[in-house]
Amino acid sequence: MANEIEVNEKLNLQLRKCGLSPKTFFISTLKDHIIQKKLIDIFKKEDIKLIITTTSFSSSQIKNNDLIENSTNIFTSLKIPILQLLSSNRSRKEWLNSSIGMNSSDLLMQIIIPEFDGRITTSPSAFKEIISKKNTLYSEITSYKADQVGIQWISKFATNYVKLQKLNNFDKRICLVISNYPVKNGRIGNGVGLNTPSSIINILNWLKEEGYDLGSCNYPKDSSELMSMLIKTRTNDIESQNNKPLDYLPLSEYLKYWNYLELDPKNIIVNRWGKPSDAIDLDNNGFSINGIKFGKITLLIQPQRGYDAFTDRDIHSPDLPPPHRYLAQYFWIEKVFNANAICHIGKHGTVEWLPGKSIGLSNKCFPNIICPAIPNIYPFIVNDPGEGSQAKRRTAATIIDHLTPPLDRSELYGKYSILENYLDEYFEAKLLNSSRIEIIERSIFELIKNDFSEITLKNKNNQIEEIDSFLCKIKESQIRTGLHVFGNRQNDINEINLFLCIARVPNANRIGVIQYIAKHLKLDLNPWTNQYDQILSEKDKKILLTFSNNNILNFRMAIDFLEQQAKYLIYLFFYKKNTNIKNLEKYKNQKIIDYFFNEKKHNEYFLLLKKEILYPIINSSYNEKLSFINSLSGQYVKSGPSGAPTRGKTEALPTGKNFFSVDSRGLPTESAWSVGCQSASQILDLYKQDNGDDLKNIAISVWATSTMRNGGEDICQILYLLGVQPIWDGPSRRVVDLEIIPLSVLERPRVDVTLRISGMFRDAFPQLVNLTFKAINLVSDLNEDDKFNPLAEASRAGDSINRIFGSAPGSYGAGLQELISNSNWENIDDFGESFLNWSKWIYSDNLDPLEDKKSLENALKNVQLVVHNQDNKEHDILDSDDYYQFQGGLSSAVKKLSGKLPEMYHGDLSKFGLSKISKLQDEINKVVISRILNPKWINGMKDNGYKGAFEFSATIDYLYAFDASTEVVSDWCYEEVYNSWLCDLDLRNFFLENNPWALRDIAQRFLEIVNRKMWKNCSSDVIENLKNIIINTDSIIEKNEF
Amino acid sequence: MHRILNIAGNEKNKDDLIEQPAADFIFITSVKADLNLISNLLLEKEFDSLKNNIRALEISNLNSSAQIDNYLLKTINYAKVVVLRIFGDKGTWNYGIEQLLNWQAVNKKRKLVILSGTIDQEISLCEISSIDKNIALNISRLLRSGGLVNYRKFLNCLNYLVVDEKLIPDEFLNITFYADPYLYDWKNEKGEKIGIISYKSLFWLMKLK
Repeated sequence: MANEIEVNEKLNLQLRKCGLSPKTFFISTLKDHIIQKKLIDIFKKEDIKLIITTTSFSSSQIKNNDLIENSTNIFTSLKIPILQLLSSNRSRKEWLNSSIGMNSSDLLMQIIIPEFDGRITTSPSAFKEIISKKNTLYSEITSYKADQVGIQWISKFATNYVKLQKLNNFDKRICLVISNYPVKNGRIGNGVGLNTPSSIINILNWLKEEGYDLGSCNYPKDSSELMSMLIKTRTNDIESQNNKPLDYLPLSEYLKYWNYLELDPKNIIVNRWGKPSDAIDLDNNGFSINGIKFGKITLLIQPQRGYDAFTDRDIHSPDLPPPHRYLAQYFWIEKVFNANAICHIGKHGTVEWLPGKSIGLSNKCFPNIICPAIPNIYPFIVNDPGEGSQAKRRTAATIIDHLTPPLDRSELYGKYSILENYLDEYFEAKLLNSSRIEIIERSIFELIKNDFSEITLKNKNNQIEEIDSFLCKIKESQIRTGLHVFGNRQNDINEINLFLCIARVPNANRIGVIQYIAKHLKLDLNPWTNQYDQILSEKDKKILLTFSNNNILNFRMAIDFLEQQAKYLIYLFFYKKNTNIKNLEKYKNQKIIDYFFNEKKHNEYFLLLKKEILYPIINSSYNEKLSFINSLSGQYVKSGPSGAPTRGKTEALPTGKNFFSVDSRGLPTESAWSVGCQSASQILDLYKQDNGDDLKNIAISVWATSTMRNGGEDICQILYLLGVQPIWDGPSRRVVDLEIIPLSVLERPRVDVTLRISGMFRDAFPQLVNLTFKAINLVSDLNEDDKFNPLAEASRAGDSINRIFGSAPGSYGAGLQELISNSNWENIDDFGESFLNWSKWIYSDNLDPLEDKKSLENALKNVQLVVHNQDNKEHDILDSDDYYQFQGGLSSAVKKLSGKLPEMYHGDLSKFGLSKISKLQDEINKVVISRILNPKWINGMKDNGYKGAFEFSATIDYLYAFDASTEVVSDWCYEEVYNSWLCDLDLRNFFLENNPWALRDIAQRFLEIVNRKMWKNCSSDVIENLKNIIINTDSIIEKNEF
Repeated sequence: MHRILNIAGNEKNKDDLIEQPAADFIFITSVKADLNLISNLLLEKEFDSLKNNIRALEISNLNSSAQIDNYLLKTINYAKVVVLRIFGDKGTWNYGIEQLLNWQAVNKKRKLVILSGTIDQEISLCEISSIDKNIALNISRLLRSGGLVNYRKFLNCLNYLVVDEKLIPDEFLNITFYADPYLYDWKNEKGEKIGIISYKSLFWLMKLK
């Protein structure tokens, strides 16, 4: 007879060994409110401190991937941490041998869905083993067997949580960790959208208020002081190696902990980095611990990942083990500093991305070895559920999500404003049928010829309208205009801008605010659009003339007017009572005020905005602080949905939650299918328009994060290109099968699609990998004419039809970042080779991937087009290293294999139902104009000191990286960026005062761009100036004048 | 190439087809612990007649339409009663349920009993059973309430289902209720208290022991 409660018994035994008192509750279900109520009563009466649950699914009510607020829910009522003990449906042996770890049903039932409750994912502690095969049921009889390693880990984790609850704040030792890559002094404190140093200052202040021990010396009062203090000590940068580190972990101490590790990971490390005593990062005193300390609070810089000490072997090694110092610093945190909690600040560090099983890690997986079994608190941007989930699932982190940075319309500036004025004049003259039309027209074309190499006019007719549409597209682009500080409200104007960005987007409950105004003014135009060449009707012109003092003659002017009025109304409704913003007062329009503000009927709509947007934004800052403080008291952090608020996901607000991702059973959704079909059709149309032929071969990269946000639009795009349609089940609307769309319905050839899935996608969506694999097989088996089905043609010819590729099991990335960071490349083929090496694993419906570079080469050699989609505009393609790595990686690989760069398109899926496909070069140009050169962004970054300067440095790196791997960046981009950033004295002084390393990095990068002839027509003056900047900045850095 | 297995459960290849020897009763469940419990109950003398006449398997062995079709053809087609116990709504195993409904529709003498593992789907699932809805609900609750006594009653119901579910004596439909939550291993001891929450289904086997 099996003893099915062995796990409970062993867990209880181990908890008792840790001095805790386990109280076991066997229940039928957690969904039942009566049972929940009984549990709540007992838990409260008994003063239970923490919950460990082995139950699957969640106790919360979920509808359409959103939590239905329920104050009586057991976990929200109890406010104590809940640890999810993982029980694998596989045997221990199968799990150990698997690179994936937990299988897809465990992932769903024990991780993804329990996360809806705010449960903290821990380690596998039970495995299902076969206890009988010979029985009359003709079924294997299995039973859960406890895993002592997992039981010990979760018991230790629980003990540390309880300890955190019991300790006085003054006695708590908290370790804050900030990441640093590339390992340069100008790039400390990665945190997407986050002013990390200022957030650290906030955290230090909160800790002080709460009675934590910050020592007798004064801790830094602002971010400049903090970064100056930090960089004067030893950092990861080679330049700082003569500075004193915070501490050392002597080799003898290190060996004590090292010796406890399993043999396999030790061998992996030794094979690459040598024995601990031979480690290249070992000093005479031991391994340096880099950071600063204030009383019992330590701020550490996460150690370098190891790619900086590159060899060719490392560059091509997606599963490079962390170097000894990496381990040493985390050993120090746990064993020497005795941290009670660790806080990784900002998206994202590297520990959760270290090699190991995808989900359900073992003690041979590096994240598990390195990240100690203590509470891990992780402030993380709300719009990135994918990467946040990685931290939750691989390092038992509790996310505290934070607001996006302030966002705004780009609008126009400088020469673009001048051009706009000319256009306005032109349209005015045209209205009056003035003789000046031709003169103005000539001036416009002269201006375009001399100053706007970025504008290429495609149509012979309507060129003025084309210029107008170009400006409108730039003007309407959504950009970041600052950074978020954890726990802070934005200033009023930034908050109003963000409010408007969210309110502009229609959702299930309401139309967008611009649409609302347009609708009530009875305008014909559609303001929620990607069509910037709409003709403004005479009726609209007349209506607008009654409200505006100026003539509104085209779509761009109309949108401008509506945007200004929407902003003013938001200001008037919600802010004006307490503040007076001059810049907004200029938009005051009494007729609009009378119509919308003074008319009671519109109050309902604006009240809706207040409830849906204003309160949640305001509460976000408060919740971020409160959740952070509570988490350091070992309390439960409430869960909630994640997503991009400006993509209509207002449920993701307020922030300050332990966000969850998405119930993958519902993917792809039917709405994603409509977007997938639409965007795929646009790809096909644009390709045909550009090339005259039907598209036959395409490569697409797919990420988990966007899939979590958009319900699987990229996968649907792929399915439609293949000519396969999902079948949704009746009541639950889950995909149950696929069906071939006949060629007669498609009315075009099928497309042979190669996917490069991200590591995170592989981990989070095994069922979508299966679905796509099935679709590819279905299409390759079809008996259709070669010219209508290139995949079947390849299959019949005996070629490999493997089309789903990803990085090595247990590893992540695409392999370009390391080449870029170290400038370790000669030509574009180097990127192609690296990408091929990092992407050569075939994924299918089989759990274990196969390494097969030949198949990848075979799939990519015929690729005509490479596409990557972007599902929201809270960032852009020059904000992150991922875009160039995947699109640049695929494109350069195609170039290496075929000798020719493919076409490259960018899919803008940020407006639901309004996809827009454009050439990658056009998208880059748009980002350069709308953000990088835009004073709104530049000034926004200037307001953010060190981290603002960091953002400039990162941006130029990504622009350079895109060019290096795709060759689509034009000279004018470099020239304009150089002039705007490095020839502006104010901006240079800003860099020198706040982050001289960033200035030097930017100048060095420009010099490299010039030397590599990526900026072809660069003058010698520029080169001289760049050299001077580098020399001068170097001297300031050497003198420690910062 | 599919492997054909006559013992369900080997998950090395999830495309494997299952073909168990024919039997009057088939029990398909989402809960692996059900199999453990039933296989142990069948060792009791009381169930000698049932012992070689019931096959069972976990629903995860029937993932794909191919697996479902094959199992239906090779095993279910010879059965008189199929009991399906699932967690979640009908969509959780939509194709399988549709095929079972078709199987039953072909021959009205066949009995299909669909039970829910959770309270929220109880009515919607039980009512698509081919037997009296209230009796299906009752059996569903027997298994949800769990425990040796209730599972024994469930096994006792099976032979009646072949003939007419209305003939099932009340004693087999009376649910024995257990505390829910059921407190286990509570000791008077020092230390901060940690609540451990687990499913009762795991616990019943120990009670059986």
